[in-house]
Amino acid sequence: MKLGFFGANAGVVSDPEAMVAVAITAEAAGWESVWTGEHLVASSPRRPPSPVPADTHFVDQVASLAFLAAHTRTLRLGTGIVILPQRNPVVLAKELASVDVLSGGRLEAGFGVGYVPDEFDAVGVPFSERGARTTEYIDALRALWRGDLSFSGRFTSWDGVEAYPRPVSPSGPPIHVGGNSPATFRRTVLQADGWYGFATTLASTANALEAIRQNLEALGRPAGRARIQVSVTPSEPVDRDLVRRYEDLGVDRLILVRDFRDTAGGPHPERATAVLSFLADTPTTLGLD
Amino acid sequence: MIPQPHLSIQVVNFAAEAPDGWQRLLDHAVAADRAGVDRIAVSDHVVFGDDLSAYAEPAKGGLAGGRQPTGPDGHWLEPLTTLAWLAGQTDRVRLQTGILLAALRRPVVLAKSVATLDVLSGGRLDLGVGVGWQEVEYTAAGLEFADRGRLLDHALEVCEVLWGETRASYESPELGFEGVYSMPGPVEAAGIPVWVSGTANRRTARRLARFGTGWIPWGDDRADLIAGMARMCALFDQLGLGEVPAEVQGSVPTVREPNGAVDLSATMTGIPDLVAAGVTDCRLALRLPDGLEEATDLLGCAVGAFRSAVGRP
Repeated sequence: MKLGFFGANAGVVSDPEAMVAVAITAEAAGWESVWTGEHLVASSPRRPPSPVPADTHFVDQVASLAFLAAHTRTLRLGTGIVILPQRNPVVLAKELASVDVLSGGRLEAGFGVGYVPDEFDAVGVPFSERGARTTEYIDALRALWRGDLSFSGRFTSWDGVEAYPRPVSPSGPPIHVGGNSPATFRRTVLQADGWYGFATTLASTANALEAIRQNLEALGRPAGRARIQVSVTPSEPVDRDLVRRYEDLGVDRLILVRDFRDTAGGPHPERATAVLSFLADTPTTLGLD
Repeated sequence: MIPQPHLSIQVVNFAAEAPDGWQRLLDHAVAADRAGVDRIAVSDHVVFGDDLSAYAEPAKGGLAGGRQPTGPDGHWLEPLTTLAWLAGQTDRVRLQTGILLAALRRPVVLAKSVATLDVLSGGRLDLGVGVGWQEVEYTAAGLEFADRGRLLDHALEVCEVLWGETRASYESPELGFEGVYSMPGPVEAAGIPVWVSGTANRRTARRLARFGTGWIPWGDDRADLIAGMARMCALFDQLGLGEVPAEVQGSVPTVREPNGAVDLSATMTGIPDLVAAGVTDCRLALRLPDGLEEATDLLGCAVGAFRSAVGRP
């Protein structure tokens, strides 16, 4: 079981010193990866479905991972997740390729579709197009990374352009898609290298894996694409027994939080210290060191 | 605040051929940080088409006689990403995009990335922006090249709103938000210094007056800074834009020794004139040697010569 930490750019650890301490502590303690999250803007006063208080600090993910790449050597660096339809795919392709190159190929690219209409209005992307854009943008990212000179889609097109550097691995950084919709499971099978479930339970994970299996059976996996990696951030308290049960389900990576409330609000030195202790102790506690 | 005038250099975030890693870029940035260079800059291309001839056409935003340093298959690291990486390995040098094609980014994402970089670097960011010269970058990003000036103004306006107000509202033909937060904001209450690149024309003057803390002259104005600054001042007068922003970046003409090496002391003799004309950031073009120690030594000499030329301790 791989061990990841979620929230390296948010809430109580969202200042540069704490972010660096998180990454260095995680690497030293044997964590496989750290992951970031995002809400580009947050509606105020907080309105459902926005999940966090409006003044929560989310440091930009791409910049965060480039910054953390400078402080680490082996730790993998994941976006968990970028709300893909809110980005310009051509610019994002360049940014992610740059992080991947600067980190020596340590990027894990997680993408989601988003679910807060206010955020889409602020970015200027129709909420109703989020699914279609996500599907198309994943293709666009891969096309640009592969060096396809032309691309013709409903939302993005180019003809006769290239962008170097390309990602370190010829197949690009692993792409994980997050979410629980039928469309997400189709995308997982047809376009992605992994699925990322957030705030899961064992039961919800089992359901998701069953949906992925059914899609695999119905649609098949594109040639050359390896087995689907499964990563989850459990909502349950994690102990050795739970790790084993997730392992038995076929989960490859647990991306843990100390406390979901850590990702809300702004920098908080005492809670940041608690996060660092969590990072130092957890691999041993879970028998994953 | 670093006393003015400043010494800045470009660190090369591009390579004509596939490079064997980016250690050289890192060494040069760290060397600049150690040697006391005040500011380093990186540049931007998101994609390239085959035809780079527009770079030599001033009418399209290029530079007369200009030549791109790479072909279309040149490797260009994304500048905000690169500066975040460099921010993690430097302590005091200011970090500038020189320049960022800001209009290619979605404005709300741009505001978030740039504020992040400012926070991660402890307030060391200078956002240099321009419209560029390559139509294909705009079309690939789904934007109209003909609209590039307005798109840049729009992007800067969204940044200004999101950085300036904790709870922000904004409405434009492209996007709108009401009562949204995007924390963290910039380190300084005054926001992030915006450096506007361009020739002295009405559009650049208005953009500079509206958003700029500094001007990066381009084209003829870059080649002849003193005349360029007179043109910009005249435009500000004519358009009633008030005072020209205090900061101006200017290239220091390089004097070479017979063997081709830069003659630092002769090069520095040109600086007092630039400073007298109002240049606050002197951009020195130096070919830096490989290796951290070697680059630090050369930059240390350049910093010493610069400070004695301008009477800075």
